[in-house]
Amino acid sequence: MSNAIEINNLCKEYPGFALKNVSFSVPRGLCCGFVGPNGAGKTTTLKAMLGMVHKSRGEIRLLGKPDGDITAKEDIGVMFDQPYFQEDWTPFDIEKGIKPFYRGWDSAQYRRYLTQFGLDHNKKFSAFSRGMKMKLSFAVHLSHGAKLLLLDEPTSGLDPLARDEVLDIMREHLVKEDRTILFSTHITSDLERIADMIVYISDGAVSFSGDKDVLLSKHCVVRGGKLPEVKRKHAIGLREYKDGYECLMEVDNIGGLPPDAMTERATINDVVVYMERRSRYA
Amino acid sequence: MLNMMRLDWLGMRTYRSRFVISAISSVAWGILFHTGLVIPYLVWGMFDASLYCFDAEEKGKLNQLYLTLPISRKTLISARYILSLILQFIGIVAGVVFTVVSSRIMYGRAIINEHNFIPTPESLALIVCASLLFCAVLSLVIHPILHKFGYAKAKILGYALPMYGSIILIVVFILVAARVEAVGEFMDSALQWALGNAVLASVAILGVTALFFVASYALSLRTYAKRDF
Repeated sequence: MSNAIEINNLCKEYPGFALKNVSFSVPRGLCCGFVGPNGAGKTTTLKAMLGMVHKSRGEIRLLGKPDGDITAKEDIGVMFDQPYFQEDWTPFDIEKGIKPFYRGWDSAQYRRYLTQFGLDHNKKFSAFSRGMKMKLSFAVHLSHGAKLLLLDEPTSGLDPLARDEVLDIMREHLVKEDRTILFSTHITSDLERIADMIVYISDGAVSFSGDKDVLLSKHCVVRGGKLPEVKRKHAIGLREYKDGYECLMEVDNIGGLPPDAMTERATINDVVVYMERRSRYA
Repeated sequence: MLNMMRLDWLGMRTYRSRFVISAISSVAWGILFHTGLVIPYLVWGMFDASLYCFDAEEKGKLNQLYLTLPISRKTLISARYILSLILQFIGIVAGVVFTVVSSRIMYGRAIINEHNFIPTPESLALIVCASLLFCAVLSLVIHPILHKFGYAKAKILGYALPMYGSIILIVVFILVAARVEAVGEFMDSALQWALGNAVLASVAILGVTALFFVASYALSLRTYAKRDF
């Protein structure tokens, strides 16, 4: 299976922050959750992939094409935390403006999506709710036949129903062969529901990149009375109380824990929360 | 490129009423002061209006949209320059038509300025070229700065100051020419020479104008290519 996204040793320096040799790849046809704390480098990585920020070093290939090859963008749909269209544009204006850029634009499909998503063709963009705006943006990108969707927190700020609808749209998109999604999010339940793999980034560096199930099977939550000193180095996001502790630990490292220690299967939420604790309090 | 021009134009839709205001105020200047001022004012007004795309881009955060489209940054800049030149050209055509028509109607009836102006092909050519040169000078300053910093950051130093400061400078210069005999005489003789050698003067002015526009374009390409969004 070829990769839709390949990033090798991506670096970008800012005063006070840097992307440090970010490397990961996403095979075609998968949905990848891009997770990490605020300011970890998710948006910078996405922008570097699109050439919106200039990388200092590294290699980026999207859909097999190197960065700088603008033809790749024909097959890429991008959504940031909110769609950026002019406030007075209607869905009709948006089609008029965007359609000429994409050879694969399907007007009939666009109208079908507008109807399916309950979007009024003649309503101004400013009059749509946030959820509607996201759906409109999906309608645009799905109508030009994007094979790769790069989404920056597409569900943040949406009410549960709108979030559910957006996730359904993403899932439907993936039904077709050769469609890939990379989406950054803070909402771990979204990852549980839709992600096949996860890239975890913290402080500008990728800590984990791989299959979601592998990530979950590799880690467990450990709770107990007192964590032995030799085990502290293996504890991820250690939280200590007066009468006990809890942390995330790789399954390979749980041998040798005291008998009172209890382990349980980690959820995505556990992994993300403990990893974020580690990065924040390291 | 054509697609990008269309999209930029679509982005500026809320500003289109200002184009009409610019045209009406140009005509008003002609009626009040001197019909010879209509062309420069209209061309300047159209150049000014073409800069609304920077404001529109930032208010709608359209650069986030533009940079995800399958076009290069060079195409984006080129489209913006061509749109600006097209708008200036529209200003020229409208200005020439209005100047010719209004000079016949207004001849001897200017409300404030008693001078009359009978447009000739030579004078019209010189006015058009000088107007374009003025916009080219402004473009050399404004476009690269706005492309580098964006409208919000650079609207005072990169837009308002050159745009309106230059008008103030011209007014001051006209006042000085009217009061200081030597300057006035020099201006008169330069104008007479230009009118007597209209083709040569127009070609020379257009050449310098083209140079300024090309320099502005090259600078904008460089500054925009390096910008992070």
